[in-house]
Amino acid sequence: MNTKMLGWTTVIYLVAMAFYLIRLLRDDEYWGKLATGTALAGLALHTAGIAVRWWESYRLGIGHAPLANFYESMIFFSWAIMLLYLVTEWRIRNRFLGPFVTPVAFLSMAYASLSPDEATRIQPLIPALQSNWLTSHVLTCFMGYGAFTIAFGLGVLFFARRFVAGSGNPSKGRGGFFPDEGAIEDLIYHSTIMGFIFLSLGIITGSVWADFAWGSYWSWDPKETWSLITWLIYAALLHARLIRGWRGKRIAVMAIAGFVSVLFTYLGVNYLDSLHSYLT
Amino acid sequence: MQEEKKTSKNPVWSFFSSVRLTLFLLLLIALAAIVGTVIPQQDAAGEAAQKLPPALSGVLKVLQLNDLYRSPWFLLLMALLTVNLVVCSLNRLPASLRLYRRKPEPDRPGLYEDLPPGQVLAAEGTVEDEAARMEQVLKKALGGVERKGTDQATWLSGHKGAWSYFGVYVIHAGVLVIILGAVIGSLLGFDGAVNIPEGGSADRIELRGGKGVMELGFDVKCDDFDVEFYDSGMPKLYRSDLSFLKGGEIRAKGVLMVNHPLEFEGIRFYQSSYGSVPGEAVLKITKKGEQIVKRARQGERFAIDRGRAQVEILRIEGNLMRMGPAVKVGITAGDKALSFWVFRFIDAIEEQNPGITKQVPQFDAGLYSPYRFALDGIETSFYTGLKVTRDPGVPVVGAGAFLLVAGFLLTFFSSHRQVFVRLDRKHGKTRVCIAGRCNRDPVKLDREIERIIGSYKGTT
Repeated sequence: MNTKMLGWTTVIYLVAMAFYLIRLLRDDEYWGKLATGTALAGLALHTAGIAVRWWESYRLGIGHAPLANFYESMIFFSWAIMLLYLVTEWRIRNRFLGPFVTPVAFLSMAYASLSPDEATRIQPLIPALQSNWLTSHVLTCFMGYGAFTIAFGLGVLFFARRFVAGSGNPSKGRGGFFPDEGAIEDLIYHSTIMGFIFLSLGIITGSVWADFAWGSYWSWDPKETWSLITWLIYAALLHARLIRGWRGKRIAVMAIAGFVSVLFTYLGVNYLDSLHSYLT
Repeated sequence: MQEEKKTSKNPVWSFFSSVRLTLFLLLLIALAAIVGTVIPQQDAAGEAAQKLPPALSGVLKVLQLNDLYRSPWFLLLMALLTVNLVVCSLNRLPASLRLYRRKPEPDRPGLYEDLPPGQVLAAEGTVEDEAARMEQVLKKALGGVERKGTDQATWLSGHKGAWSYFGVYVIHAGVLVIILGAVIGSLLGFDGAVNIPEGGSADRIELRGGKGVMELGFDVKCDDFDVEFYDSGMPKLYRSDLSFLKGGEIRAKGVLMVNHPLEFEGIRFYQSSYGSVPGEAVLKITKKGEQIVKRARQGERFAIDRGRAQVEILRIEGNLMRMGPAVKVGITAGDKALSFWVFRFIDAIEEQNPGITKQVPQFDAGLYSPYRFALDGIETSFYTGLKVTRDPGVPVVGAGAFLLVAGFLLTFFSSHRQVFVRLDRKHGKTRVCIAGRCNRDPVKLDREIERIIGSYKGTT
């Protein structure tokens, strides 16, 4: 049941992504409204799918939040991206970011749906995961990943805008369809702050959990180390902007580099020998 | 906020007060950490080293890349960042203090120029009346208000969130406290492991990284160990029932599970692994049709032959030379001493290798005649693998994490918002100009001003 709902969510996100693209290319807010409506419907179904999966796990007598394996984490990653994106769209009252963020959410869902049947089934928790910290740790980490995805989308947008409009701030032409570079960079900064706080909370909740489960709050496990690397990169971004006064292109480059580190923290670490390996 | 260019005479101080150095160190530490996740560390390093050409593994050894996170050069980078953090913070603190203490200047020139139309109001009352009303509104909105007046105009000012200047110092203090906690842990804490068989006990642990053995000062007994599996074969539960004894007396008992550590005398125990070892051997000893059954662990002794002979279980093997379970028995009787293996499946072994017990006296279970030994089975017993630690730095690290989060809230969710009001006469009415300044988050300031104007209009 829940996998079917999540499967349809994937399709809806693909449609929303297409609408956002059409809006961008045809410069017509009609398509934009359609895109937002579709994305909202997708998010609603997505939320329901996760809730149903949670509820079904209780019916199976192995109740736990659906955040316990790689499949479930990808579903939640996508959910966090869409939620944060729609909140951002609503706050800035502009849809220009849609075509740059929805593909990540769609790809995460699509990749999850390619998982073998066994992985999509609801599994009971192994002893290491039987902890109240599971939910808060995964929740904070993936909200952080989601916010960094928004910052990444903005970074790509920054360069896409330069590509079509040059480095100035023209009021006419296609480039003028996007907000000016300063506004994009400001949004990168704010999404990075959001992600940085969530990542910090994720590392802290993870440390508390590790202290209970593994007997040490920090073991230089590859996943821990990569989360620290990601944290350091974004800390550098914040200091560079606030104190050194870095602007524009450099900030966009750092937001993209930070996201590569996020992806490695999330996915790449699976190829290293890690205590977190039950997430594969 | 641009970096303040300060000319300090001390070159060391000015070197460490550079944020460029901070960026460099942050990225260098990140780079070093990446290297550490690619090259096998510590225990895993030994295995990997055998597969590498000797020259390469030599290089890794010299640069200590196999224990990177504890290597002096990595710790040096961390120490440099710490000094950098302290110096930068101290360097900037006076400026923040000045901002915090600065008196509002509502009559500063230029403050009321280019105000949006909504922030310039015209009121019917006198300057005195309108100022009194506005004073109440500001007091309610900002918690305090200052007044200044001349013949030409009256100025009011209020502010909120001046604490936000210190958020960044709280964050930096949090990082420093976390580092302090890590240092305390590495100096005063320890980290080790011990395996305890079911029913057995231990009074010492092996420290990690080959740092030897440590006495606990008490005994830990494993009363019971359980492992349960789901139908799918995934593990469901690991559970050890532990007793803590001092001088043979039970002082505490507890159930140890993954995610549920136990603590005794400041030392914490964690369920980290388990395994099985050969436990008691069941021996049947016959003499002319008379049979006795003895159960014994490795190293245990018992007497036979009316106390004339001592039997010791020298070794218990689950599968000796692919011939199945076997027990090595040593017998001393007077000045005579001999030993031999007792196989569980001796009949099958003899069938395949006729005459073996005659050719190899070590395999002859009837060597101490007229007694004949037979092995009825070896019971496997579980041992529980415990991780044993003490880390007095943990509360310190926790306090640091708390400061870090509190600092984030101060830095990113609060701002210093100042509201200035000028009231004067213009075209026979009282003109009320409202201006604002903030250190960040201008949207929040705009909303604050909107609210103030709304409640000012509402009190008419």
